[in-house]
Amino acid sequence: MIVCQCNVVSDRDVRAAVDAGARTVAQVCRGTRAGTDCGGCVFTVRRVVCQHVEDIQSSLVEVDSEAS
Amino acid sequence: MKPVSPRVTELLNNALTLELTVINGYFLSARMLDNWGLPHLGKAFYDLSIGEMNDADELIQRILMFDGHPNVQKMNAIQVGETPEEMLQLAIDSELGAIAQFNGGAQECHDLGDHATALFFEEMARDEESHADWFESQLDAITRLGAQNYLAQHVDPSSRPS
Repeated sequence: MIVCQCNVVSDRDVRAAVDAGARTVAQVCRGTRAGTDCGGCVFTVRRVVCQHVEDIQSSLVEVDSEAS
Repeated sequence: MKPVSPRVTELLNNALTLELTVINGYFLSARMLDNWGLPHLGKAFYDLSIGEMNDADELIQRILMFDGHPNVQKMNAIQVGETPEEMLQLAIDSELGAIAQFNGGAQECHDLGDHATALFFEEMARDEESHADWFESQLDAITRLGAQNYLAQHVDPSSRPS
């Protein structure tokens, strides 16, 4: 889905930015340009970033438990 | 006429914010679907967008009746699907959010003793329920038929360049 209407940035672009190393909402916004015009989508961007970071962390926990 | 509490106009304005958001979301989805060659599904979104606009109209009139100021500037963030299936899923999510918000509004209005505004919210919640149900049925149909078979029903083979 497109989350930033001003710069046409999708939730996949946001997750890709996190995968590429962005660790804060500000870094994601700078990298993708999401939320850098009207700013109306920053809370949506934050939600997508938090959800994705959580998913990454829980998959790491799963890997840990499988390995031990 | 003054409302029983300023909270009533606040609740009506919150509902207006939600309606204005979905009007735009549905309208863009409608025209994107038209553009993808799926005018029948586009028409469904178009009609819903106009329907929500009528709801917004009633909200504006009710807020004005209570000598309040309708906030037509405020909108929530819009999320637009990039596929028809995603559009349908996002529409269900937004309708469910609307149902929860309107039920909450109705409850608060009942508690404040404004049963007329409560009924107004209840009627809007019931409208949104029927929309959510329709969207859900579309996703059910996609599960049964497959996306391609479903979407084939939404093209217009009789259309010609104008």
